[in-house]
Amino acid sequence: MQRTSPLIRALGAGVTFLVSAFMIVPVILSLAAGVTANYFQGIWRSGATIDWVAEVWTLYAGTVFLSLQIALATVAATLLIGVPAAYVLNRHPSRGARAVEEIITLPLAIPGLAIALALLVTYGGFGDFRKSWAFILVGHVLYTLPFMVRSVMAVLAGIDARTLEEGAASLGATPWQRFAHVILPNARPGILAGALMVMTLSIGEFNLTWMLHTPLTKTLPVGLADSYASMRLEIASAYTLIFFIMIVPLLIGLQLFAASLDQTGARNRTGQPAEEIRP
Amino acid sequence: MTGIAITVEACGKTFADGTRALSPISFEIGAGESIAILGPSGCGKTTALRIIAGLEGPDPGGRVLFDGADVTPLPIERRNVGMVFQSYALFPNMSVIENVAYGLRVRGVPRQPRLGQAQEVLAMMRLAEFGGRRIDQLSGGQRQRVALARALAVKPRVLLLDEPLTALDAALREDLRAEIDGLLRTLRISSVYVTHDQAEAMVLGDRIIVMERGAIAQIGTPRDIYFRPASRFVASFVGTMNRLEGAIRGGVFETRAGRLPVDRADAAEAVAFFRPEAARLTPADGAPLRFRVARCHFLGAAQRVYLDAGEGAPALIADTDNRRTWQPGQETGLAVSASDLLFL
Ligand SMILES: Nc1ncnc2c1ncn2[C@@H]1O[C@H](COP(=O)(O)OP(=O)(O)O)[C@@H](O)[C@H]1O
Ligand SMILES: [Mg+2]
Repeated sequence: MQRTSPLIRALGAGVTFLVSAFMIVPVILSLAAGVTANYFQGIWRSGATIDWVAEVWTLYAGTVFLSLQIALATVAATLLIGVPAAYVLNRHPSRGARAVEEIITLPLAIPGLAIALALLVTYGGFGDFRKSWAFILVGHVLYTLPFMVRSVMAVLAGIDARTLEEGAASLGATPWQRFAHVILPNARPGILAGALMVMTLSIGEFNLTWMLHTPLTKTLPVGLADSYASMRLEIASAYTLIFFIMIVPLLIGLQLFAASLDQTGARNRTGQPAEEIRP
Repeated sequence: MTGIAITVEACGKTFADGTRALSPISFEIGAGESIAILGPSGCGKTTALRIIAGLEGPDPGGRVLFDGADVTPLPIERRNVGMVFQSYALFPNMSVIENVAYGLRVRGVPRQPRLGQAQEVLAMMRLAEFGGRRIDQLSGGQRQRVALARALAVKPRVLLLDEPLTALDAALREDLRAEIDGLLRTLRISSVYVTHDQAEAMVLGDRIIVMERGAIAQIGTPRDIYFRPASRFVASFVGTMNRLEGAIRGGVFETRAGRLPVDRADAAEAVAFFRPEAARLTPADGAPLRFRVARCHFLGAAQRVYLDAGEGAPALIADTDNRRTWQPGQETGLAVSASDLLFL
């Protein structure tokens, strides 16, 4: 290891601090504005208040609950569709399966607006469906499904799920028993990571949702845009604060989870003994 | 546990991508017999084993019979076979004893009796204290023994093993080989053991099926295969073989190095094969074949002498006693009894 001079180290720390501050200060100021009585007088002179937060809650609580509802429903739907899909794609790695994988991944590359437009053109005429929150749900599922499928497929490939399943079959397990006893429990890290990712993406999704929403089906990010456009700065900031409180724990959870996965990944998961693999 | 007889009848395999992994092959395994399938990598050993197991179906026309009953349409879970995989395929989400008890679990055996039975099998494999461990807390050799215990716990009709020792280091491999041998002899279960290692095949196979490029090259006891190989491929794949080219004229095999009497018809081109241990080094004077020593490897218990067979020809190998010393360039005679010479 080369020794760095104290001067260079101090300089490095300084730059790091400045860059961090450059990014974090606006966030803090914005959040602080949400608990400031009058933004133009500043928090010191006008004092702190939770009135704005309370007002946002009375105005927009509905969007928070709708967002949570859609996010949970999206997670449920991607679990129901994505986990079996990943399982089938892993089990039958044919050229057809490769194509299906590509098609499922396509929504990632297409702008959300285009997906929304396609949905509107196709299903816009079905009035009840178009007006219900299920319409937004469909968009979210399309958009988040690849994350679930990819996440589960990666884990299945890592544990050599096909051989595990053949092992279970040789012991007499039926296809359903194999899936329930061997595939699902061992794919759990991928399923959990996928679910957290889908949840986070769904709660924060704006492009698609903005196109698909109606005045009665506003989600949190759509309401947020709404309040930025039409409300006092303090309301918009208080709203951001609420959003922040919802999304940050999710993100932290995701990070912690990814870290714990890395650790288990470092251990050998296929059942091959580590000591014989080392040269 | 008593074994069953297995008949493999004209089982070929062409994969979806067009790979012809097996030409139609047929063979029988007697009840309680241990068969080793031996061959180089890619020759179709695993495919043959998977067809017996029911993990792969043979091409149309092929049949697999267990004790005379056609099991070809049955998937593996309905054949009651025990299978040991090269990668072990142990379930990481279950403890050692849960792995071993899993076959009983899917058969509906209640928890207490099945854990009891699993514990007995673990004890038989000298793993009694390891039941509570996670799979990743075991060494490679222990994992392989757990895989064996798991396959045996359901009292299968036949035990199928696909290169179970390949992932282990040499010393461990030898220990486990002996252990599996003891197990197969005590249980008298029918077994098919796939390997590319001839020593494993010889120790574990009552008979060996040697495979070459999707076809059977020879079926026989280890002694048959070693002393009476059916083809040049078998001769050179199993053990070390010396090769001597020449011609036969009037009951004499004439080579560049000299002449040997043989009891064979004339042939303008003939290739003789013999084992290193059949080669006897004699004084050069008056010897039927004469060579120069290329190099000599002292191996402790024995000594391997390489003889220069001339431009472009592989050196001949003679295994001799460990006392005499040999110098490179030294001239020596070579004698081989006519009965040890194979013309293939
Ligand atoms: N699922 C498969 N699809 C296509 N080709 C295969 C498949 N499995 C095996 N093969 C091919 O069949 C041949 C025999 O393979 P295998 O039975 O695994 O040989 P071995 O076990 O003797 O090494 C090889 O050429 C291999 O590449
Ligand atoms: Mg193989």
